[in-house]
Amino acid sequence: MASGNFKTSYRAEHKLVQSNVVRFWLVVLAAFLVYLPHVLQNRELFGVSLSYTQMLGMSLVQINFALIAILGAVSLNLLTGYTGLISLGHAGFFAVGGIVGAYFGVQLGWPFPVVLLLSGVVGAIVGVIVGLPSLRVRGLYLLLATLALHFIMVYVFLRYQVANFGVVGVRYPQPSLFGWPISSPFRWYWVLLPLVVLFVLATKNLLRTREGRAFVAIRDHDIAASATGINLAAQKLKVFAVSSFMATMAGTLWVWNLSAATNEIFTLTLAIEFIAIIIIGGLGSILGAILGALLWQLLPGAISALSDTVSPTTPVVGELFNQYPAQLNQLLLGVIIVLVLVFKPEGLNGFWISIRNFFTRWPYTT
Amino acid sequence: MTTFLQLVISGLATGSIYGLIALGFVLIYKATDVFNFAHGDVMALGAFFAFTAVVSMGLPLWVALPAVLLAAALIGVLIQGIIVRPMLGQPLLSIVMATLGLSLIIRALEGIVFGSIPRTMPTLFPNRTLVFAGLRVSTLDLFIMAVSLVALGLFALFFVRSNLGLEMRATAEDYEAASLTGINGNKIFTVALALGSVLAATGGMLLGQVTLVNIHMGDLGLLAALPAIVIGGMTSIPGAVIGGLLVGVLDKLALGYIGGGSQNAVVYAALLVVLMIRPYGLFGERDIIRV
Repeated sequence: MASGNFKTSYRAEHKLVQSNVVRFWLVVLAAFLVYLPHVLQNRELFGVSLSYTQMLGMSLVQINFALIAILGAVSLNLLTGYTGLISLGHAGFFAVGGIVGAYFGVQLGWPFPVVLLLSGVVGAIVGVIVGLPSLRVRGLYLLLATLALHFIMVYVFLRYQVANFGVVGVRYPQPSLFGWPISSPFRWYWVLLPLVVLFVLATKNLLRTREGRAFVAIRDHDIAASATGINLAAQKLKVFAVSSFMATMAGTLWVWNLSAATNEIFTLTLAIEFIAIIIIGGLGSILGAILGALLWQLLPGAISALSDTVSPTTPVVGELFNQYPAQLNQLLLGVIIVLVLVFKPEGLNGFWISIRNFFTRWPYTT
Repeated sequence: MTTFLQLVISGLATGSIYGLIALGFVLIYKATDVFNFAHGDVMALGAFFAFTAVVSMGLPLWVALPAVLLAAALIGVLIQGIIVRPMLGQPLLSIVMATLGLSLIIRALEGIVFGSIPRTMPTLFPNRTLVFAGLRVSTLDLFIMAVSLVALGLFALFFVRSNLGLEMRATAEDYEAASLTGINGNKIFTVALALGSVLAATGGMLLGQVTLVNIHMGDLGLLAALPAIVIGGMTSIPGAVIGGLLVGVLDKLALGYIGGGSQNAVVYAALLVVLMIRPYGLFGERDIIRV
């Protein structure tokens, strides 16, 4: 158990994997992620078959959505959790991803990887524009400015969609990677998982650079940060560019995964959900964003799976589970948000740290 | 020109409702510093309560109306106890998110209790169309405007004349100094939440006269109130009302001249312009913290 910082060289300090214990758990995680699609598709764990309820209603499709949500949540956490810039613009960036995907991918028919990369680049440019208000206002006012830009981006999507595809919405064809069609949830999983790993690592690395430390300094005290020589305007625009690069890319992946999109899917609720995810998960924590996104995406499935086992005649609960699963999900998420905020402001990440500390420090308390 | 005036007139009618909702919002924000994103849902609750009282239970109007307003006030008191009080002094994002969580909870409960089918409220006011110099004005709109104006007037009177109103203004000005003079901050918070919720519910009942009563009303109310208070200036009470009227008019003009679906984009573009040029709004005080 590590009871202090015993690094003797900068090289040791710089290492991404700090110890063999961490390396071991990473290998376990990797093995789990490789095995996961098998479990979900065949509903069996090491030869033991599982029922739909025992799987908590999880399927590979939901895991794929969760992976996309992780991309969005990590990018928002970079912006809000690490740099302290509150944004309601993430659904708007998803809409930009929808436009870029539709224009380059559907109308011009460019290959999917190129479209994906382009959506990131276009997203970064849009992100810089969306970030401009952050140079003048902050806090609540920035939240409202990004809310305004959300409506403008979604409106642009609506006009683009109506002008080129009609009111029925954009239909995205089946994408393929260098001739390998992404035709099943299983293949999507193997496209999304490496991307998520890549971006999580990139974010982790970014936070260790001069830029990343500048972001955190801006969050903690912007005037002090600028006194230490950080160019506030440049750093804020940079973080907006990086964050919206990821968010827009996630948006493109999302609409291609859905294979169709209308302006109505980019709701304000979607933007709020991303904030809820990082709050529940824990602000300023990549692990938190991942946990929050998983919880948010997997809870509806779990509720609908559980509703099969709850008898409709059970008082109160039976009716709730069987007739109002959507409302129950909404209610639970709302209650979780309020409880987390009141009792555990560090979110799921805070729970994780408490649990870890309990085991590493056992038998001592705290 | 006739089209323009026509749009402005119908915009003023919905705008006066938005003004009421925005006023409740500003009242809560001024007193407690809590930016209440559940305000729209409290408004929707007002409409649902009214529907339940008038249609489902068949109560006469003079019983139903006070009952709905009382229920709304109780909701406000509940919000104060559950969300506002424990969250005081927390960072902005946490408070915003707590009210968003509350909004999810209210919506879920609305869905369970009232169902997700849109309901039509019986019109409480005569609905005929009058023609003035080529302009069509519905009496319903006129009544809505009149009721809003009366509600606003009563509220202004309360705020300026009554002791409680004076205490509320003092608390909004400086919480600690007000406490020193013996004002009970907790009581003021409760009153602010209750009054704000009553204003929202009144707005909800009036909005229920012109739109269907459904769970998405919450969004409508919130999305109209936010630009109204920003344009009016976050802390200004006349600003909220004028902002509400402006939002109503802009909304109708966008619908009439640009087309459906553009309303939010136009209204929020106006909000963005105001934020960039005069972040303290048209009537707010210049005490914005610089970046």
